[in-house]
Amino acid sequence: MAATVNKTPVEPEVDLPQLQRSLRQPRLLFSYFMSLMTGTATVVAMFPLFSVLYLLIKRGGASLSAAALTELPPAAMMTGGGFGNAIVGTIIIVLLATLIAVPIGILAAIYTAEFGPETEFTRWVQFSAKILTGLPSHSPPLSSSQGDSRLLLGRSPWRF
Amino acid sequence: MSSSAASPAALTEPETVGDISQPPSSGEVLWDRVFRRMTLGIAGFTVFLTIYVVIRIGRVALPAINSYGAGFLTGTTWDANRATFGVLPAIAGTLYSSILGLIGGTLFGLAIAIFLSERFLSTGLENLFKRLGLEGLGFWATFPDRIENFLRVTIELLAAIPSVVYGLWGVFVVIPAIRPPSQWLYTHLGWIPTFGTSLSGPGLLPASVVLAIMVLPTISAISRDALVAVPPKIREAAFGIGATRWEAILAVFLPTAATGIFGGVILGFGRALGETMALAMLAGNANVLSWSIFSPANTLAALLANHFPEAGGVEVGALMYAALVLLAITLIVNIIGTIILQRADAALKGLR
Repeated sequence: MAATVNKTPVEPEVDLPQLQRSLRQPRLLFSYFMSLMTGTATVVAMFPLFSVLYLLIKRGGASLSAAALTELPPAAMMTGGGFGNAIVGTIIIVLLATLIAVPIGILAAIYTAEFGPETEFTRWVQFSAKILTGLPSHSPPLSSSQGDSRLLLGRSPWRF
Repeated sequence: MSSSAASPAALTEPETVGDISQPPSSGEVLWDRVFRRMTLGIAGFTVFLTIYVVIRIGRVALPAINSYGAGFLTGTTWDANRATFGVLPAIAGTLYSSILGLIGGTLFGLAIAIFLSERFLSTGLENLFKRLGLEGLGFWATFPDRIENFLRVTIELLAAIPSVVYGLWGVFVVIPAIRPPSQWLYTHLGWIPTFGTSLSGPGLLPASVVLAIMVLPTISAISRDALVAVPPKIREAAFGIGATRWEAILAVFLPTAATGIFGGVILGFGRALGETMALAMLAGNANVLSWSIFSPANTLAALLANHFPEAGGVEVGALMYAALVLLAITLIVNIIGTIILQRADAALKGLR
């Protein structure tokens, strides 16, 4: 009778080495391999950003000067001057577009999220916002400033 | 009445409470109504804007639609002098480059989303610091989080680079970089239709590479949000039954987050279809129908960008027709996406 009592705990029913983490197990090897792959993908994806910065600094850095940022473009066949007008124009257009798009985007988002969620109308609003995101910015009835606002407008209802 | 008259001191307290919880004034009710109407109106304006754009383009395109009809969709030449217009190569190029770009963008975007949401880097670095005896020491304690944040911001910055700059980068960096390997593929595997021509400069492949980079931040940001939102109890249950990290990711987390990830992919597809400037610089603007990823091509958006500045008369109508075709493609993609999304949502309802 004493023998039967002793016997039960001695014989383990589980193969213990099987439970230990080991790279010889295919599923663990696969797991490590995939982790490595995603890490590599993340690093590779950052390459374009630095490549773009490097290209711009290498090719454009030399001609960067205070005159280039502030003066008007030179007349034909002349050297010197800058693109100050383009900088001012960019700032004004982006500001105006933001002023137009932010209230519209936020109010539409408030409606779709708070007042009429899950209704047919809301689905139409979200759908048309998505369509606006996909419009080519060159479609002539839309000016290029609206090309930027379409992004803001298209984004906010979607992210809510 | 009698008690309030008897002790003025006892009266003050109930009155202050009444001040706080009094019914809204008529001004507040009015403002609430106006605000509701305003949001409703603005939301309706979004729909109106979309319809307005379609109608405006449609009105200009109407003569071209009447004279070219369905032959416009199957024609392969675009010649303003002979007034023959066909957009089949542009449609094919738009879909081909967008799908190639989307495949690349989704692969990398999803990998990044998994890498940043499952804390691979943090756990790895924390283990390393533990071995070096640095754990919990000021700077090193927050280091893994900070480097993960840095990676996330860097990836998101990719979305901030203007399309034109991507076009320049494609011309100066991508095309020279992919020319030797694509030449090798052409000479050795040229019998496969996808490698059937040599890369002479601009073409489908450089355009798709740049498109992939442009849609990658969108897909990775939305997928990451979806993965982070997977309920902790599902997470713990997966690890609790002994799944390895990747078994849990592939069999549990990704299917749970599939709706959100798919939404990001559809949004990326919409952007890829409408992308103009970089493709006008990189696709080659040649109305060629080819399976080869090295052949120059054209896309609908690039066609509009290239021809509109000098177009007049009949060509404007034809270009607007092309814009309508592009709009229809975007519409179809979004409708298919919405249907799949709704199905996936219904299938996952029990999990949430």
